[in-house]
Amino acid sequence: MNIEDQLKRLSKENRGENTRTGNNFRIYEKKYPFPLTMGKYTLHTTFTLEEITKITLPESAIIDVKEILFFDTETTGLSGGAGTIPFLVGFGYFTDTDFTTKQFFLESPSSEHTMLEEINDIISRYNYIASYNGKGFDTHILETRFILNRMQSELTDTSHIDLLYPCRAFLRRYLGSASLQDVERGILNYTRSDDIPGALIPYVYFDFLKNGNEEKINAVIEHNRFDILSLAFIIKLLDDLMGNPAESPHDLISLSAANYLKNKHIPQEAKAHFENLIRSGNNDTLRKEAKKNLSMLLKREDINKASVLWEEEKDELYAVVELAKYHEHRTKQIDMALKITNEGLNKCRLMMELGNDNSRYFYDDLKKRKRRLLRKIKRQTKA
Amino acid sequence: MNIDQIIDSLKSNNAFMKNVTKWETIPEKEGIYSSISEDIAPNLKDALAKNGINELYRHQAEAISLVREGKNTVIVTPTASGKTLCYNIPVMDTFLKDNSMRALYLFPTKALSQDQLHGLLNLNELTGAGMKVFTFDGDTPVSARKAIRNVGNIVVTNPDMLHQGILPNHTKWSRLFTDLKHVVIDEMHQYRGIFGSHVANVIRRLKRIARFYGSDPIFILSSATIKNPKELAENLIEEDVTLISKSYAPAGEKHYILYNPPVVNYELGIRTSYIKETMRIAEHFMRNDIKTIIFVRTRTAVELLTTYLKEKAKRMHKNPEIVQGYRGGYLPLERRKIEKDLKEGKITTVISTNALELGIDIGSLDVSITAGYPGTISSFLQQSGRAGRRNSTAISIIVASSAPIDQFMINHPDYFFGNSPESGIINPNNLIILINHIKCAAFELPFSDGEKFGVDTTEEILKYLEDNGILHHSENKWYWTEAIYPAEEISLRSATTENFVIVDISSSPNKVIGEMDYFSAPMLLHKDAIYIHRGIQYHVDNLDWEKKKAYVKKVDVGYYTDAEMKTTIDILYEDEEKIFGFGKLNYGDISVRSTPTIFKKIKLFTHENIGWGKIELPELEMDTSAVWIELNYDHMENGMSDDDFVGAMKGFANVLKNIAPIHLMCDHRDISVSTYVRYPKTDKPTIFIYDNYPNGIGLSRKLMELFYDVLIETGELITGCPCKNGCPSCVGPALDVGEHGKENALNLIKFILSHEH
Repeated sequence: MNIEDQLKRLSKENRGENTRTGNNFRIYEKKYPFPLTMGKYTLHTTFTLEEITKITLPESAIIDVKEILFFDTETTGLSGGAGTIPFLVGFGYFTDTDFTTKQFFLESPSSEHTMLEEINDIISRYNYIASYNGKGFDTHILETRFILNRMQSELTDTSHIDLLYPCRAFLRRYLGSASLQDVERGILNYTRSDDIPGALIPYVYFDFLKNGNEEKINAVIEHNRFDILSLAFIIKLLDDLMGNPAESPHDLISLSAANYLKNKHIPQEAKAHFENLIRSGNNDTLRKEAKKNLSMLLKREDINKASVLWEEEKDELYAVVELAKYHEHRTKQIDMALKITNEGLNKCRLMMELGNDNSRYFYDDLKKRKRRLLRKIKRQTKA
Repeated sequence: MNIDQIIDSLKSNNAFMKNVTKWETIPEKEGIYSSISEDIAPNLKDALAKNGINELYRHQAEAISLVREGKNTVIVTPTASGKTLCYNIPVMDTFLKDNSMRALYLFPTKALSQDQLHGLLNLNELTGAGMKVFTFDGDTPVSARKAIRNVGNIVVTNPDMLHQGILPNHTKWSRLFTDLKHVVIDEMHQYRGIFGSHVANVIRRLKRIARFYGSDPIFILSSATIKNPKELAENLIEEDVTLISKSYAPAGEKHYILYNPPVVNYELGIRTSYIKETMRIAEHFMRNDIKTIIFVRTRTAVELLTTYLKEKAKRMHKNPEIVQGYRGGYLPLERRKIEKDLKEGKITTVISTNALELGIDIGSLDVSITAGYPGTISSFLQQSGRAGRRNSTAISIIVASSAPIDQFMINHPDYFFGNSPESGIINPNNLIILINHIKCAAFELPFSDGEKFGVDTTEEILKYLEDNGILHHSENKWYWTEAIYPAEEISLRSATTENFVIVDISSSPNKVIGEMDYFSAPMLLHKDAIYIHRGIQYHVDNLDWEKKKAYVKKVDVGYYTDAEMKTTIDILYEDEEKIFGFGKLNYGDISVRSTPTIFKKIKLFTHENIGWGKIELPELEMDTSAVWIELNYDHMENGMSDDDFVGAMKGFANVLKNIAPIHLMCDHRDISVSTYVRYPKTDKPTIFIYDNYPNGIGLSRKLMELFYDVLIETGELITGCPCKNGCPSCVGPALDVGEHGKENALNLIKFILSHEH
């Protein structure tokens, strides 16, 4: 049987012909003049950033927001690989008077080469690019397209500020998620209306290619434009949050930010956030967590200050252990250390009787410590 | 006794010798050497010298110089003839002269690549040139992958990983593809049938991507002995390939003994158990501390023989630890210990599954015993290759089981020592397989108008895919327009993606124990079937047709089940017709519709029918390729009743089904035989032999060429069988084919053979 007949037998239904071919790409441009508002936030002018770069770039820098090109892509699939096409590449940038979005839409995959040239051209004019998960997804997809079109990508050498990581670190505990739209809803207080679900986007494009269906394409363009617009607000919000702990919208955000900064070894900012939370926080549990983490941070640079926090938190077993260590090794008041250790042991016994298994760890630690302290006292008395 | 004395004692042992159908002695052979070419990189020469290699076997030198001339080369020489150096030397030499070189090594399985790599890593270390060699497979940590992509000079992987991991992400591998100089395909004979047909397409994709990056690699293939290595290699890579098949490696004296257990019941054609015979033979070697490896077919048999021989060792007042099982499922550490103890002589007898015939590194032993024909001659030769050293005598014994193929092979010793009858067959243009890989290829790189992928009609397939919304045509190119990643859904190991999953619900938590293809499931996994998996019986509680799941429970019952299928065949298209005196031989496409009807419960060992049940499953339809024999034969004139003739056709079909796989190098399940006493359209007796896969994988097409060879052998199998009226080793039991079934089947075959013109 020839291939044609075999194919006929395979094809249970014939889905009709494709007629539409595109030989170009479209550019959608839109200007948002100052003041521009999203939810409860308003941008009145351009601004500079100095905090956010400390956690998103290899070297911190003070940058003018006009140096940043914001971008986001819509693709024919999420799995990556050489066959995934970014059919819509959206950019956003600040001018002195507005925030402009410029989106490149591939009417036909065959025009990709020309579109990539345009993209390279626009990227080459900026010192920084900013995205939401661009490091994990969009840049890989775009780099692949450049290789397939035998081109050198400008993306490769441009510093990239990916906002997903700080958002995740600062906001996930509070929001329960760190998707761009949850950030918009939960922090900016902005809810999109009639937004197209992301999972449908590839199919809208396939429908456009096959049947020339324009209807839903506009929804995709708008979806992408809002993603970019959000980035402009979120970058400002994150920068403010880092620089002004007092402005934090919620204790959980302050705490998350402080913990993240501590782990990233940015101690000054971390301390500021912890102290702010301890000073003016509303939630005792969070304040206690802040005190504990701050004390651990201080332990390395000013242990006397840390000991003040441990005194305040003497109800907590970790603080007991730390105080015992502090007196044993630092103030050399062995008697004091022993007294604290005994108190701690009593507390552990009580807690364990109440069924708190976590105390076992402190109990074992304190017991060892007690034995050693007793030995030390013995030796001292002999001497 | 030493090995030579044992040989003498076996030869004078009548009880042993009367079961030997052939004793072939291959005399000791001197090696023939060639010097290492002048222009090989000096540090590679030094490294080889440090390993004691100052000259090469002539076949190695030939292979290396072919590769260095840029010729694709396939090397088919026996185990221990230094095949790996044939590719490692040219690859390393290229690297030493140009450090940017990249090469891809493909091994069919993971376990294999580990052992084969030792030599390469050792040479690499000795040259001190720091070539980077990495294995890239499912176990490679994600954190290491980027580095491997960027710096790996040699990437060792398997076809599945190339298909699903590397090719679809080729832009991340651009360095590998840009500087790809060599592709090594080891164990080429494994790439046959469905798997081979897929792999040929993966290679098409590989070459397409390499072209995109401007490289044109040389292929170096190695294979076990088969009849058509050059043909298979050329079908796989679709380029000219030069064959190196004569080994100049030295070898000690080797004795091959073909052993057929004696018949104990001529009525039923029953022989003594081949496992028991294997035990007895092995004991003999164990008593004399001769290092022996025994290959058996199942894990259960490994355990059985191990236990038995340990017991025997005790009775011989030997430490039972000299006997060890060695099979998949043992931890690497356990395996390494067994290997070490073998080398140091702490172990003398190893019992292994044939699954491990390739992946083991145990050095050379004195004796190999293969219990039961392992399915292909090449795999027997690989097993027997385990026994043999340069300066001493070695023995390889095969003990036949009573299966028809074993009985046939044990009486055809020429096949073991002369020319292999086994052809590696693939059909890369099986439409379903081809379409699947065209999809993958389109994902990897848009097709251009006029581009050819395997077939001239590539464009028609692209149009078909566009009609189905999978591709989009625009300005001379075909773009992938689906949101999925096609390679993920396509397995290289099966013809369809619709496999049935077998779930053991008697284990907790429930465990998936295996998979079965769509067309076999109704026969083997219908409700109330006894399904045997790795020697364990399972009862099928339920077959969920919609969800493609079979739920089974472990049982221990004294019967097995045998489903009957009502099969209707329609001829779709005749591609080829040959007219003979006996009738016609055709090749073409058919549609097979089959419905399982009932199943019988058959008692183990006695084969009594002890009950039956209905099977209620939908009809299956499959288009495939077939050869069919249309006979101008009037059975009445030839003195056969209608019933006789039904039995004769059945018996003929049974034998055909067992002989054909020897030539097609496939499993007997890969082909089906259906007979019609009267085919409705022509009213002629007709026998259909078809590929048991949708669209065919080339098996029946090859049968068209081999028809007479196969037919002659079907006759030989029947005449060679000592049973009286038919038994499971030949035409099938008399119960099935009638009292004169054996005689009638033979008469039918004689009729065909005598009416060629």
